[in-house]
Amino acid sequence: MSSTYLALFKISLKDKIAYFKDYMFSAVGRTLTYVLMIFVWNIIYFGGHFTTIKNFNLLQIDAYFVIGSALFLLINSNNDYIVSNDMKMGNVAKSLIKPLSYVYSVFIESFSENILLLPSVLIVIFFTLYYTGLVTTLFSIITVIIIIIIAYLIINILQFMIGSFAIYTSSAFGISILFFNIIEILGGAIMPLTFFPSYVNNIVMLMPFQLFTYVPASILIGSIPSSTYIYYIFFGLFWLFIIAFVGYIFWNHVKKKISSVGG
Amino acid sequence: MDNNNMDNNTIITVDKVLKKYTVNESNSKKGFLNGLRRKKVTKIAVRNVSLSIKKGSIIALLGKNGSGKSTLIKMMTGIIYPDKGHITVDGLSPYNDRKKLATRVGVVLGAHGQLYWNLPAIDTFNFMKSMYKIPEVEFNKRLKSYLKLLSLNDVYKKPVRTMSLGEQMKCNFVASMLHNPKIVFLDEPTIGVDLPSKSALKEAIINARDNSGTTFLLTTHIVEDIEIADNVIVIDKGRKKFDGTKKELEKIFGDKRIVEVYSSKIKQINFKSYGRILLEKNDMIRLEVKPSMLKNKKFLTMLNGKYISDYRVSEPHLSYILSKLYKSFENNK
Repeated sequence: MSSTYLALFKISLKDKIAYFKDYMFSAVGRTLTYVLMIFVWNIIYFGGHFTTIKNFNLLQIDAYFVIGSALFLLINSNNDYIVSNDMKMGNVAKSLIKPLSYVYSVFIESFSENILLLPSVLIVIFFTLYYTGLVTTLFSIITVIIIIIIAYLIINILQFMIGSFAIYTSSAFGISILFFNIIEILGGAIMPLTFFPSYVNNIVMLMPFQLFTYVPASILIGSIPSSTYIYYIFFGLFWLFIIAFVGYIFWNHVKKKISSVGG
Repeated sequence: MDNNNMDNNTIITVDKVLKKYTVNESNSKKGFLNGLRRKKVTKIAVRNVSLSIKKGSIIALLGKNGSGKSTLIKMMTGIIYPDKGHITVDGLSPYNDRKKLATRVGVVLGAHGQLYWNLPAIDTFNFMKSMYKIPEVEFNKRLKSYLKLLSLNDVYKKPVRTMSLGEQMKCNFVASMLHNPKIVFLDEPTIGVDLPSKSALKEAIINARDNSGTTFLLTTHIVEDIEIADNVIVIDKGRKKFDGTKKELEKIFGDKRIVEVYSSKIKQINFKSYGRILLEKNDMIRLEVKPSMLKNKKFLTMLNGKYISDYRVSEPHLSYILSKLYKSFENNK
């Protein structure tokens, strides 16, 4: 990162800290759905007298939702909102008058917001693992770190693309909500992906969304065998390459449109 | 215009530039469904505009809303590209060399400030220092000088959101000047700014031009802003209508004199025969007359007659000239 982008990161971080309390309230608000999921699954396990469902016992399912929601919160960026708002308000011009890349500027802005959540997410994960007694290995932790970085990049590129739709549609709010719900369901934030019927599961397992919640949370609670870790890393890299390529082509198209109509 | 023919003293050349854009317009036909339908309409924002700007000059780019001023500035800064024609700014093509050009120019785009809303302006200034790699000593010197000149010493450490519009505008100006740019584009720099702040901004512009040879191109609707300009460019419906000095503008469009006549018997004198009545009050009438009328015996006798208590002759104000100019555009539709 050049000193210019480092300076941009520092000022963005300062800017985010200025309204961090507000951001924390919204983050807590977003996790309430997952807390509700824990209650629902507790009722299902107790009500149906299940000890395990699809290789998940109750302790694992509770840990899955706490860890999964924390990780999902950490990687979920605001790129779609930032870009869509910039397009709508003509703020892209504000960025283009600086000797900076607009794409990097947006990524750094949203990264500065996500990084603020990192300490609380780490505390939640370690506390959950400690409390539940679920054993995780150093190999699992390193794999999860790599997968989270890949997932973060994928979700950022996708959300950047979604925000860019505002240049065609005036607002990307609708498509942004749709995308959020899709990644929430297909990423495993509502329930582990193995709970889907097998034909749905087979399709979902080919998509990159599983890297957002299901894969990292399952690795940490030990419900995915360590022999598949490397596969998931390469699977993520493959999708990252595809999405970055599509994103690059799409952004070049949007850039032409911005340069044509103004930003 | 061939770049080779460019005068060494020329810093910006705009050569036969054309810019079109497409907008969705609602259907004017009656009926609910017709109202929902939209048709794509191609509009021309800038039509074959050519101009050249000399180093160290202050240029006022005038025009009504939607005349194409901001589009022209956006093309000169590389934010958008022209559909036809060429632009050269300090020897660079703005669109192709956007990042390189950004280090040599400063831009204030009206409401779209560069300041971080939640942070004090000093944080943005420090960010500018890192982004433009301004040496510490130079940065401190320039900052100190601008803070003093624009009376910002009590302001720059408080969050931008708590600043008045004028203070924000002045801080935006400082942010765009800290790297000592060769050219500064100011799009509506005094919008919503109070009188003392306007004067301070103008003084800062003149100082930068005199001390550092900075070239300024400012778009404005506000007539007082033109006072500091060396040259005026008037744009209407994307076409350049005038490019010259203020004196030339006054000569072409303001070749009239304004005569204010004070009398208790206004109604009894036929002022219409001398010129156009601009304003009529109980004991005062304002006339627009040809300069030759001031030598007309009958007119002079009337002015010095017993019914007239006082009179005053003046040249038309720039605002009057501009409103006349814009009116002439309307009539030439």
